[in-house]
Amino acid sequence: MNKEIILSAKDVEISFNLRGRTLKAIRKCSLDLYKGETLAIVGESGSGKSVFTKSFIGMLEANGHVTGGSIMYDGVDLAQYSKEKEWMTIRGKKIAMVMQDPMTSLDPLMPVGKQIKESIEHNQGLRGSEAKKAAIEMLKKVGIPDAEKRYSQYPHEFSGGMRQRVVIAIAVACYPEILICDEPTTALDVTIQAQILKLIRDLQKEYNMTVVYITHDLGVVANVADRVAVMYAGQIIEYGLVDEIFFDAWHPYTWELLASLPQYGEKGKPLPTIDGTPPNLFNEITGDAFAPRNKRPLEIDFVEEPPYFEISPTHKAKTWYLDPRAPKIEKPQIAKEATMKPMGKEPAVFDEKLVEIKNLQVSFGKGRRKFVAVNNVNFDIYKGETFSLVGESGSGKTTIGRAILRINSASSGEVLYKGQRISGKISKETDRHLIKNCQMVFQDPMSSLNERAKVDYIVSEGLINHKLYHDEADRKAKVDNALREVGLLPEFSSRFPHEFSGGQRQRIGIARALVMEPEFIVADEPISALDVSIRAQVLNLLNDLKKKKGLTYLFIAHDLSVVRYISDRVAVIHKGRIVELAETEELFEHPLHPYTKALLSAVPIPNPTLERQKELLVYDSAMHDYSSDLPVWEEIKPGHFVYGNQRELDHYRKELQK
Amino acid sequence: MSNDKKDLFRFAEHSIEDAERIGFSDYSYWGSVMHNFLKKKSAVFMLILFLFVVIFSHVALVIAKYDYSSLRIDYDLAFQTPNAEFWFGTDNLGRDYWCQVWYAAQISIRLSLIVVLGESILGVVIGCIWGYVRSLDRFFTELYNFISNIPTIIYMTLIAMVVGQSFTIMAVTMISIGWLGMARNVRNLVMIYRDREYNLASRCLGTPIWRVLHKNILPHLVSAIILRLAISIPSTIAQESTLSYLGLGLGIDTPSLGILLRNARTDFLNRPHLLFFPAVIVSIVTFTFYLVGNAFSDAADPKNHT
Amino acid sequence: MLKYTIKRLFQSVVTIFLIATAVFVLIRMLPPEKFYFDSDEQMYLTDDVKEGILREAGLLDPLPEQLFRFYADTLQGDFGISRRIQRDAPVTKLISKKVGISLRNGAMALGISLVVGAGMGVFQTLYKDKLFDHIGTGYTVFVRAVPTIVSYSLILVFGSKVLGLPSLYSSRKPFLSNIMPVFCLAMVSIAGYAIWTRRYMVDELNKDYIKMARIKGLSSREIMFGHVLKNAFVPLVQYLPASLLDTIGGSLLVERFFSVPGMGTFLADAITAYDVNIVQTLSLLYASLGVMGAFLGDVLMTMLDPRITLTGKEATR
Repeated sequence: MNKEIILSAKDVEISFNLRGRTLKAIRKCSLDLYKGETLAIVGESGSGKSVFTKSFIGMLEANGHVTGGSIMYDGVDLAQYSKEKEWMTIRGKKIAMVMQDPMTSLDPLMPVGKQIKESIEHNQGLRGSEAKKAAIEMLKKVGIPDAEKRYSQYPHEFSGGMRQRVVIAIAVACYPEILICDEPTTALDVTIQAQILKLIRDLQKEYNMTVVYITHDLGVVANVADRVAVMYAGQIIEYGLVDEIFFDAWHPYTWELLASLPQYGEKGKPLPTIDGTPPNLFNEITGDAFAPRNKRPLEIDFVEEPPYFEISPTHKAKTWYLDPRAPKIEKPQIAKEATMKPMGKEPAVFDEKLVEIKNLQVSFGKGRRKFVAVNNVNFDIYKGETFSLVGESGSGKTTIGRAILRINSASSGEVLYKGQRISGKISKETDRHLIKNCQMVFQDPMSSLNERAKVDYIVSEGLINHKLYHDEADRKAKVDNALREVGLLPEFSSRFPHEFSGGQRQRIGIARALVMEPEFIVADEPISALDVSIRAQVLNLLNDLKKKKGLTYLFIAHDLSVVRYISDRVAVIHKGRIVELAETEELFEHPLHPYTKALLSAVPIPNPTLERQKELLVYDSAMHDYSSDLPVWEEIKPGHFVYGNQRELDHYRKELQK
Repeated sequence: MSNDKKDLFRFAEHSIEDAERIGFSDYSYWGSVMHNFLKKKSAVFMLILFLFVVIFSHVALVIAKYDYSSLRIDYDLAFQTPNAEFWFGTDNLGRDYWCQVWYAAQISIRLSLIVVLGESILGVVIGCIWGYVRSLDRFFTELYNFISNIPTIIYMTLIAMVVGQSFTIMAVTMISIGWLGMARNVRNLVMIYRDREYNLASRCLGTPIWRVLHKNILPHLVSAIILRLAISIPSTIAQESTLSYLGLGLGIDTPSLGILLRNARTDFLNRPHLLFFPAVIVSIVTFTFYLVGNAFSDAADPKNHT
Repeated sequence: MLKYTIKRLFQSVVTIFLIATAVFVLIRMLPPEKFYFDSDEQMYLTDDVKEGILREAGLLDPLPEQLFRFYADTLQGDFGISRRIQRDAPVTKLISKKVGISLRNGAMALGISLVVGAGMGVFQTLYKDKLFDHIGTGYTVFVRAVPTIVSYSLILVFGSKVLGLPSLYSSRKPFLSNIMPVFCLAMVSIAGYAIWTRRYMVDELNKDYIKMARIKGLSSREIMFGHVLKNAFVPLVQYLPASLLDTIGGSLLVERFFSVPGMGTFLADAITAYDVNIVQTLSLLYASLGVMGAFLGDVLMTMLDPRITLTGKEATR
């Protein structure tokens, strides 16, 4: 690769002062950025990926400082910049940035057009009506229809995806040489994400920008990147061309990260996991920061920090494994093949219905503000299966889960548990019985534990409520047992939640449900808030428990690819309605409903070869003509249900015969 | 690279326990609160000063040369500046100022403590219900808007005129209006915490409402409630003195800061001791309490716990 | 927008109506002879004569009847007559003289506190954690922690001893006489505006859209005046009604303290004299001011903030 270097960071060190303690967020990190390329920086939360790039445009928080190294750009060292005035020559004009959350990135009291206009006036030197014209042009370019009208609307009148388009317009209107995208799609739905990624790619070509992507999602990386840099504990531990990283990684962290992805898992077998949690950067780190979590560390890993070893002219890794003195090591088998093979099916017979949902409808509000969150939904969950409900935010998937557990009440229709009605008014006895048997695991481990209670109380809360223990010793034994079952030490019970990492907290949340000895668990996006390296631990745990205790899961998710590994059957929900339901492999191999197809095509697969071949399908609900031919919920093939009118169903049948 | 490191290139032990281990700490909430508070020397000093004045207001009356109830009017002794006989001098009617000022301070402190205690209990309880029970929100909000849109002083005026003036009436009236602010504050916070996932978890586990409030929500409000208290004591004392000054508070025969300043209003420009002593003593009480409350509230905020 | 305003206005009128009823009923709980006769009459008239006079005046009618008469009179602008302060003079006539002074002082104090307070908040934010910020914080702590009566006394001592301002209101020097009262009135609200302006501005400064503005290359100045100030001002509007209430509450004490011949002093006099019609009318007036302040605050808020949906707004204070 013989390209011009546009920005070169060398041995950058950044630290933060937090209440008298120093956090070394970036520890001697180096990076060269080539003109016109797309570089993805991938890492978990706290790896420093965001902090590192923020230092390129002087956007570190007030308590953070570059304490060493250099960032050479255009002949000047940005690391020496400290004054606002100096940065003003870089920000916008040379380097711009798109942030994660489009909901907060725009001034709520200024029309969006004006916010773009500001950017144009500032960086292109246009004024007045000319700048306005350019701003409207920019709005059109980022794909906002009706740009003239939209120009004078306020941010709250735009959806999340549209707002992110506006933010991108503001950044691109600066005509920057480098565009930094800091998790630009994390807050968005998968279908929107695919569109935004495409938009950025198109704009990059048109304006000849160099793009730096910061992301934790290896699927996004495979989709966008030319080159990839992997960060761990404040350092880039490996970098190379995208194919080199995905198919020929050399750092044990990169291997294990890729291997632990559920997309590469095999049904019925546990996923390879990375034990433990990333190191605490308040402490001094000696040797390879990953060593304590590495399953096959070398002794030198604990003593001395490895240098970069060259694998190819474009590929380097910071691991002692590449040292000629190191013993021969066998790299684990990660998906090298260019296709995703079916994950197979676990032989199991499900015949006993545990939960039946009949014509369920849930609505919120009254009168004109009435909002139907769940609209006439029918499905059964069989004992012993993992039933997944997949949909985007606001689709009603969480509401269904909560309606089963009676957190939200059904407006009409009914829910049966073991043939007994549990929606609407039920007796106290049934309620008690239900609470013992049906439990929930929540999405966000940060907010699902009471910060001010000890783990002991959190885990035994259900026991106390229902007096499910004989004496204090029995209660303690039950808590210890539950903790052990989720892989935590019993001694943790006297700690407060804030001492635990995200994955450990999620396991405490599972222990809290387990201690009730339930039969049925609603798991509401239990892994989507977790770091990539932790997800496999939690998925394995859920699968283990299912096997050991014969649990039944309702697994709620927004990401189809994760669901494939864990579920027996999958239902796809769109705007409060289930549009398709089938056994997992059937659904993935023969999706029928256009929304399912769009969703499948939008999910980024952590495999660059596949991502390159993939064709993005867009779903628009206006494509259905339900004016005369009314849609029905039809079992089109044993076990495969789809929502559509007669004409569509005929079409689907033909498709299945092919 | 020297050759002696060669033997380090072999596989080392890996243990899951090591990877899982977390740093040990014997964290306790109140321990951290006390630790943080005691670290702030100025706040500790303020606390000591506050307690000293509160206790001394009782001692002062015991060691005083005159008894408040047996003060006599003696025009010959009017406007004495502080001296060995009259430690704080005398007022326009020749009465000992020392015992009047300390008596007033004692009354103000007692009244404000009672009022603040009453309105906090009422406010926290009602605020919790208001915030947690959705169906009652509308009712309480309307009630709040109705009551809070009218100046407090108008209520006090009407009550003083229709019901009468005494320590008890004043305390009851002030509590019955004062709870609103606290309740509103608590309600807003409860609504923030109410729908956090850990409270949903409690509902899934069938935890009764009172325990959800007690275990899951109230502990998070400690800091905000203390902050409110920090403002409440000074503002109650200020309100009491305003009303007494207007003749609507405690009776004329009960000395309080307002009454003393009212009596001295025409004279204190020329006889500063009449203003100085009551003003300084009461201000020390309100000022120190305000600062101690603020410091304690900061210390109680888990964000400041390391 | 219009629909919301009308709805909110209707609500305010209902509130005032309820307050009027409550005030009237409360005051009628006093025995009529206590406020209808002066001390001479109380002493020398026989009970029969007293009862006759009271009956004549309609004060012994059943409460609902009196209440409806009160509604009817009030709607016609008749607030009754004074019995004690100036016998048989119409209340409206007595009050109208006082209202002018109080409203002028109040409006001035509000205006000053908004300008000075918000200005102080802005500068505190600009010089955050510098000397000016500490001075401002010191001032707000002082206002909050020291009883108002004590601060008024200090202002009085300073104003009259150092600046030579009149220590009591003098109708011959109305301008000089009003300086200290207006300052005392503004003092509390200045602190309020300063605290909230600073807090809201600091809140806004930490938001993502400010980062975005920096990223596109705007200077701190442009960001401060083009984005932060406007956004901080919206929640600040919520403090408007509260500052009005503070000013009303303060005006009673301030006027009495400096003997300003305004509504506040008059109310205190009327209470001491048991002049019920005056107390009733003034209470109603003060309460209406408070309610209308809240109304204006809410309407202003919906005008300033495009995000507020006009159907479902509840009080956010």
